[in-house]
Amino acid sequence: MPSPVDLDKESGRAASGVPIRVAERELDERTVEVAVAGELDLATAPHLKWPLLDALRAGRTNLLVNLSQVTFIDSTALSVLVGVKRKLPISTRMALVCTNESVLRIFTIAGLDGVFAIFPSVEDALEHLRGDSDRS
Amino acid sequence: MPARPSRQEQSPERDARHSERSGLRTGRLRRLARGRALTGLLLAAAALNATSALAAPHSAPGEGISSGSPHGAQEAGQSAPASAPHSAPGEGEGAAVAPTPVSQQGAAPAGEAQVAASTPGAGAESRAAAAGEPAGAGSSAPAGHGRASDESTLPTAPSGPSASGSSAAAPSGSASSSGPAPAPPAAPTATQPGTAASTTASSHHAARAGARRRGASAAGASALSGRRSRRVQAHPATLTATAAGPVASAGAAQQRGESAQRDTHQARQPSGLNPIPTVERIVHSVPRPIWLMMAILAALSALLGMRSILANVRARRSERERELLARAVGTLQGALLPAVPESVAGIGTSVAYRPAEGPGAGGDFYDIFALPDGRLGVIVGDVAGHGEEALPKTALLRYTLRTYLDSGLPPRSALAAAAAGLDERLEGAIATALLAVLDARTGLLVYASAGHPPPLIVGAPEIEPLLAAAAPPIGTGVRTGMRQTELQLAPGAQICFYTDGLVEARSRGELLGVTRVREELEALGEAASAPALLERVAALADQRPDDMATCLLTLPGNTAAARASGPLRRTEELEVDRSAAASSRPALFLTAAGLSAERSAEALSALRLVLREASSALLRVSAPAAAGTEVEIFPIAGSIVQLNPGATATWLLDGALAAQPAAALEEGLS
Repeated sequence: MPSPVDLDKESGRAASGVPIRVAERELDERTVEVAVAGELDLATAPHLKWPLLDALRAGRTNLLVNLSQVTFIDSTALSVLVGVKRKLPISTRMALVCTNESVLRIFTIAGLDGVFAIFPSVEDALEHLRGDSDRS
Repeated sequence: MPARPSRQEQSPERDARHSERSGLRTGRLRRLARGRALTGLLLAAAALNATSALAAPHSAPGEGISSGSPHGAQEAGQSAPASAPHSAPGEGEGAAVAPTPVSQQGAAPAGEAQVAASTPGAGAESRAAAAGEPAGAGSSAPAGHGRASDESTLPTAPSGPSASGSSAAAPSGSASSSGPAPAPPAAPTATQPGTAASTTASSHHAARAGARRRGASAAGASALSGRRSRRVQAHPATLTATAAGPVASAGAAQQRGESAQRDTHQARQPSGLNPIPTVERIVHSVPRPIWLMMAILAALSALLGMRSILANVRARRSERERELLARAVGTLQGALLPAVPESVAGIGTSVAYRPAEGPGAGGDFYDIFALPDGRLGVIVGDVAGHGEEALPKTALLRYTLRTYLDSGLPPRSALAAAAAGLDERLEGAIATALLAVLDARTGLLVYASAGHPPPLIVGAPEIEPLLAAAAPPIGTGVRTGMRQTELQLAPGAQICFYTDGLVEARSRGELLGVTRVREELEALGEAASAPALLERVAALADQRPDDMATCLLTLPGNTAAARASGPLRRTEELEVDRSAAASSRPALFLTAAGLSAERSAEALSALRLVLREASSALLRVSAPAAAGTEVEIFPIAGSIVQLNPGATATWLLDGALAAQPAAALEEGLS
């Protein structure tokens, strides 16, 4: 079981003033986890966007976006996730980890719960990614 | 020098007279007369004399002057002739001539002369001297002057060319007459600046001093001072000089005297009425450093003036540009956020929009319009992203959606068809949208959402909108427009459409959320309007990071009663294709719609059966129905909206969708 990502580096602040922390780590040679804590909005969405695009450019085929410590996500951040998903090469997978009820509700209202593979834990997400990768 | 005492004696006297005539004459002039300016004055006077000397040969070489002399001599008395011979040898004609008339001057006329001299210039001065002549010579003054000139001229005499001793002798009056006579030469001297103008107090001193000078040097001085002079001055001087000219040539001393007096009056008059000479007097007595400072100040004020003019012009231009821009922005905003009449298709409407604080503005849009069938159409949406880049997409979305809804398609189909075409055109941006149709006669509200929050039905909080299996936003690359909701509303019901800016506004760091917004809306009561709601939300929130847009519809009828009753009937639809049927979404939908697990499983198996034949099917759950919650499954022939891979949409509008109970359907298929 992978230990939680160390999230003590503040990258910016949301419009509400809540700081955002972003960290990334390599889970295996194909898989990168990008973990976010805080609020994702117009101001902080870029902090989510760049590490994901960097990972894609680096040739990672499995993207794990850990949003379990995210307390709010707005349409701009959803747009970032959708944009990244649309840029994925055919062999690349993306999985979200989300446990916060209000964030899950936002995904549901937006009808994106059917667009993204959302899991309650990193293990579940990894299983999905690796299983998918194995299949493809 | 013996001459000096006499000068000093007389000048105060004259000054006093001056101050009587013109208040402007003050101690400064006195100082000028006595002090540092003295030499300048002398030079100026000398220049005068020199010119007159030059003129003398022209007007009346020798005789002319002598003809004038008798008259002058009459009053001049002995002193003049006496002095003349002395001075003559020393100075040449002009110089010799000059001192004599001056010496003849009476004190009183001298005062007049001073005024005249100070104002129009040196030319006037010489005339003033002439005026002094006839007035005839205070006994002491002429004497003193005669003496003075004698003494002063004597030393220089030897060098003088003696030129016209005769003419010099003639003198007295003629000197003055010859002064004005040569008008052209007089002009330059007349234009002498400070020196000549300020002579005043000691015009005759100067004249006398001129006697001490050589013609040549005096001329040089005049040239010098003339260069420093102002042109303006030359005019009155030449005028009076020419006026005096004929008189002088006439040779009548009395006439000359009168005319000279007239001249002095003429010369004086402008000084009283025309401010220029006065100004000039002041100007000339201003010391050089002050001049410099004044020049610098003038330059500075001119610069500042230019700056303010430029700033004015610029401000006016930018104001005009701002007006144009505001108008353009207004037009643009009107294209995205149109003004809506108070009532559309028999339904009370109000709309409101408030841009975000900060950079979030530009993505929200709405539209309310009457459909061809008499119902009301509503579109509310939000393009994720912000600013200018969102604007064209917002416009594209609004008009595209409106066109599809206007064509008579049900909201879900309109949304699905429009989204299929818009998906690529949004260039990676995603947009949420909600399309709704409301019938004022039946109170039936039908809406479909693409990732957009559902409307609030005022007074019916007990019925939560069904969010499960919501359709995704436009632009995700995933099909949307699968969900649709029908609400049978009571007359007078109020429906509030909004964008996420309202529920994402924060108060003390906390999101307002749907619940808070609903509370605010209900607190507004029956008179609730979209602007009033935004007002309240904005007042409540300390942070508004996104645009806020809201549309409030009020059905005709008793709003208070509608609030109490809530929706009378509710129907939720989900279109399921074969791939969706394999997912958990249909199950989630059915459970959320209030079906028991057992009934849900029953419905799902019926659905699978339908999908053996049809490529997609419509799940329809209605509540409350006569027998509780009712589930219907409609096979969709092809599909209501068929999306080709090439993103061109075709749809079937035939109503061949027979409503069949799930059980019956299952039986039929099995």
